[in-house]
This record gives sequence, structure tokens and C-alpha cells, in this order.
Amino acid sequence: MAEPSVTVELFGLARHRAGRADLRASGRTVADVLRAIVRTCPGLTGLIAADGSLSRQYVVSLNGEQFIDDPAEPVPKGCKVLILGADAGG
Amino acid sequence: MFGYHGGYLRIDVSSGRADFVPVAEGVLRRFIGGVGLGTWILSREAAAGVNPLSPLSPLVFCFSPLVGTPLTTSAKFAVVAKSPLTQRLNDALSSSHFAIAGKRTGADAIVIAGRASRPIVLLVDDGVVRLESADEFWGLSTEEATARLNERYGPDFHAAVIGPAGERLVRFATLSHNKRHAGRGGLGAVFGSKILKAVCVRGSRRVDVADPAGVVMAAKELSAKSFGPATAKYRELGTVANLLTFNRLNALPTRNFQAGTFDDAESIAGEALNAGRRIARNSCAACTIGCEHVYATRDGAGVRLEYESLFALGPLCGVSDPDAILAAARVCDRFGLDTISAGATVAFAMECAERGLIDAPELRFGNANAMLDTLQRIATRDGLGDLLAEGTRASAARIGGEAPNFAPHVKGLELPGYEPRALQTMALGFAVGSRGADHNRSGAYEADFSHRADRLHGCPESARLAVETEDRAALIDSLILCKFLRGVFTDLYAESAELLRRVTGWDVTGDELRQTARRIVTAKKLFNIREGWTPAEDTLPPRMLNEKLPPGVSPGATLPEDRLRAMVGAYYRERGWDDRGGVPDQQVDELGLSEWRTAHTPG
Repeated sequence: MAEPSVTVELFGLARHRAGRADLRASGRTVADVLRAIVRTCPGLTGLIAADGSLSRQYVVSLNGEQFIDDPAEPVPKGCKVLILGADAGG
Repeated sequence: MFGYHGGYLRIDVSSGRADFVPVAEGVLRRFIGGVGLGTWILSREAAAGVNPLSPLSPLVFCFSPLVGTPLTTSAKFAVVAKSPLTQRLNDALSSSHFAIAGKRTGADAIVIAGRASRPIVLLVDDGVVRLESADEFWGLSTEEATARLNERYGPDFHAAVIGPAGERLVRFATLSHNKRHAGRGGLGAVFGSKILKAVCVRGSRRVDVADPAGVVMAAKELSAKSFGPATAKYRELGTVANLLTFNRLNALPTRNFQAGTFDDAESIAGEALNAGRRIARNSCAACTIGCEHVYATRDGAGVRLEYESLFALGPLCGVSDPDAILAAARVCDRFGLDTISAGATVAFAMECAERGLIDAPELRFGNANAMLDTLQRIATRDGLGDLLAEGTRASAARIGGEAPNFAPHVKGLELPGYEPRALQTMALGFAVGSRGADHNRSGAYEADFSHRADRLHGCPESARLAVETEDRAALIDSLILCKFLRGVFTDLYAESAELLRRVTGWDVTGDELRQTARRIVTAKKLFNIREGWTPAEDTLPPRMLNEKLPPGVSPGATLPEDRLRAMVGAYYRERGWDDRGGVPDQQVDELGLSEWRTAHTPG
């Protein structure tokens, strides 16, 4: 069965480094989606730390409502995955 | 003693008298410098209940043990005084050469009191104090005054100046140095009340550090980290990159906090500004980050822009023209206006006008020309500007009707660009902040942008997160280091202790610095209690508690008053305070604040 495809929105440094505002990526978990993002946008290689976790530079939000710490978190169908800078404040 | 001169210079500009006041090493260790030591000095020098704009009101420039070392971002100074906007303690930070030269005058702080009979420049030259006429500078913008002072005194002197807004006692006037501003709380008005246009400092008195080689090594390590990923946003994009993020989360204050999403956000986004208008990137003295991004204005000049100025002079006023926003930022810089309070005050006035509470037919959300005109009227106290120059709290009280419900302030200080209903840990940070609604003394938004908090449903458990970030800020602001470095530390307290050990030779530990941070936050609270603080002040504007934030790109949100009250109560408990926010005697003693004991029970 094909993995679900989700919309990924990029903000701040992620957008700057990817050179685009959004993309489609497939994956059942946040980790799957992150790997798919990096495959599409080589500028975002730093998105995933050496141990497979999300880099400290970024945070992931599902639909802008829930922030995700665990890359194994499932990504619900139809969800929008937001990649934001971890230093979102001033 | 290493890292310090061991005292401060007290100057009375009424008479020109100057005295060096020794400070015991134990006090320096307990309060470090910057905001911490500045709070201690202010409490000692200011009589209880002093009018911030009276000659008796002192203003403290406070340096730190790290100033003058090669540690990156350490060229910073705090300015501390009782705020004419909030009537509470106000501390603002600025940076660059004034810090280095100021400390080299031979003092750990410079305290200014009194009132001159004519406009003056105060010169502190290697500890020698002179007052000179400022007749030729009075009325000049911050930039022109700085340039003329440089011509008169030469490049070895470094100046902190006020613009026309400070001269006219606008209650959110800034102090400017090298185009940076000690921005919040109206410190420029305190300067202006002393008929003081500028302070110029020059010096050659360096202090020794305990472990010179260790400091150099630490500086190299810190600089290397400062080039890394934790500061990349500030280098590559600047804080203007926040705008689209906040907009996406429905957390971008829009049209005086009536919405959290701005339809035209893309047109003024940091990404668009950086792509089309950025003309330079600068650093403060002794800084390796380089966060200052300068953008081209229509007239070909450049202006530095931060997210806070962008939000306040853009979406908050409904303005979507980037040229107008940059022009407004330039007006604020030149006149010496805090961009956050200025934008919020104009936005508040726009809503008053739209609701028919004031007669100002041009003042409508989205009218950029009206915004620019109103900013200049505020700075010169012309017409309606004279009322608005008092800030939103006082203006709302005078306007009456429903105006106080949507005046966007806490304790009189206008809210920065974080919609509290969409960022509810930050909402708590705003409510309890000692200088009012403040994103620099509380970084509680960091919790909202993480899995540790539910940003749309604040809860008492958030109190611990708010306390944690407030304590970290108190330490960073007292060392002083730039907060843009905060991400490079794995253990801020332990690593800061190591830096301080090498500079001062003290056997200070991370645990001691945790206690120091707590002491500084508590000292600020005790100062405010002395000045009349009551628990009723630890709240948010009625709009935030009574009106739903409408949905935008993300869902809407509510923040009922009982939820906020529960969070504030939890915050008091987390701090070990009583249920009315009073500080128990035992804690006052434990923190070594017994000398502050006379008035720590809220009225």
C-alpha cells in the first residue's frame, strides 16, 4: 500500500534553505516525512540529526496545532506538516 | 577584584557633582551586572514613590564583568530606571561601543540624577565629569545629534542620545546609541526630564580578569559556537523571518489584536524583504553573529528592521506597504520612539477612531499616511499626538468608554508581537512580567513553540516553563550576553559559571547562578511592590480575556480569565510566593535580600 502523501509547509530558515515554500511528501510517520523532505530538498539535509531525530534547529508542527517531539509520531491523513525554526521568537 | 572597578559613579546634573560609590564584592557577586546590578543600584538610589520624571529620579547605566573581554556579544549595557510609562521598574538593554567605553571610564555603572537648567551634554572622560551646553543639539534627531556630537568630541567618545520624543517626554521615548535603542519603557523621557540630550563616554581604565588565557580560550569557543546552526536564523534572515511563522499559527497581532492572521502577510514577509531590499548586514561591537539586517527605503537610505518593528508598524496597524513600514521604522529611530509602543499606540488610536471614540477621520487601519503622520505628531506632542504620547493606558483612561478594554498593554507597557490567546504560556509571561508585557524578560513563547505546552490551552503546569525562561533571561541580561546566543548553551548555568569564574576568579557554580537569577527576578518584584504593585496588575487587557481570537489560517482561541488566574496563581506558587504574589520573609532572607525587607507585602 502506498504511503500517504501530505503537504509540507516550510518557514524561516527551512524555506530559505529549500528555496521553496511548500512541497508534497510521503510517509506514515514524522521521520518518514522528514526523510522525504530531505530527498526532495538537499538544502535541508540538516533537518535530521545524526541519530535520526529532528535537528535542534527546527520544530515540527502538525496543522499548526500540535508540536511533535517524537519522530515516530504517525502523520494523520490529510494533515499539513509545518517545519519551523526552533528559535521562533525575537 | 577582577572584572570590576568596584563601584559606580553617581552624577548630579543639577550641580555637576560626581561621587564614586564603592560596591562591596559580595553585592557584585549576588547581582553580577547589567539588569541585576542595575536593579540593586536603582533600589538604593531611588526613593520609594519617586516620580520617574522628577529630578530625584535616578537613571542607571549598568555594565557587566564581561564587558571589555573578547567574549562575543559581551559589549552590552543595561539602562535601568523607574518607568514613566508603567511606574514600575524598567530595564532596557543596548549594545556596542558605549558599553566598552563606558566601563573604561572607571566605573561599573553610571547613575544620573538631578535636572539641568538648560540642555546639556554629560561627558564622562576617564572618570572626570563635565557638563557642556547642548543648545546646538536640542531638537535634533538621534542620528543628527550623534553625528554632531562625533564632530565636536571626536571618535573616541561614544554617545547615548535622545531624539525629539525624549525631549518632549513622550512616555515611550528611547535612548539611542549607534542606531540601536534601549527601547522599552520610556527611558528617553527620563533623560529628557533632566534636560539631558546626551551622555558621552571615553576611557582608558581596563580591568584585569582572573584567568586571561582561560578567557581567551572561552572566547574562541563561544565565537565558534556563534557561527553555528543555533544562530543561523539571525545571521541569514534576521528576526523578520518570524512574521510568516506567526501568521501561519494565527499568532500575528493584527489590527490592534482583533485578529491573528494578516491577509497581506506575504507582501511584507521577511523573506520578501531579504530577497528584494536587504542592502547590508551589520554587527554590534564585539559580536560575531551579525544579526542587523538593513533594508533600502524608498529615498535610498537604509533602515534596520526587526520583527517587532515590522509587526507593530505593519499588521498591527493594518499596513501592508513595505515602503511605509520601513519609513515608519525610520521615523521612530530618528525621533527616538519605541517601535512596539509607537505602533501599538497608533493601532489603538485607529480602533478608537473607527469606533467613533475620537475624532480623527483619517486614522483608519491600513492608512499608511495616517500612521506616519500620527507617529510624528506623537513625537512632537502635536494635537492628538500629545494625548497618545502618554501611552495606551493613560490615553484610554482619558478617552473613556470602551477604550480601556482594547488598550493593548500590561502594567502600561504595550504588548509585543505575540498574540497571547494563541500563545498562552507567553500570555502568562506577559501577565506577570515585572516591566509589563515583555518578550525579552520572559521567553515563554519558546514553550508554546514546542511539545512541552499546548499553546491554545494554557494550564497551571505552564508556570514552571514560564519561571524557567524568566530566570534564564535574568541571568543572560545580567552577565550580559546577547539572547541570540541562548541556543548555543547546553547548560546555560554551568557554562555561564565557567565564564564568570575565568573573568572574576570566583568559585561560582551553576547552582549559585540559578539562585542568582531567582534573586534578580525577586528583587525586581520587591522593587515593584515598594512602588505600589498589586496582584490586580498581573493580568492581560480585557480584550484578551473576553473576546475570542477569530480563526485565521489556524484555529481561533479563547483565554478565559479564570484560566489566566489559575496560571498566575501557579506561577506565584512555583516562585514560592504567597497567593497574592507577596514574597515571604523566609525567601527574602534566603535570597540575601533582607535589606529590601521593608516593603515586600503587596498593598
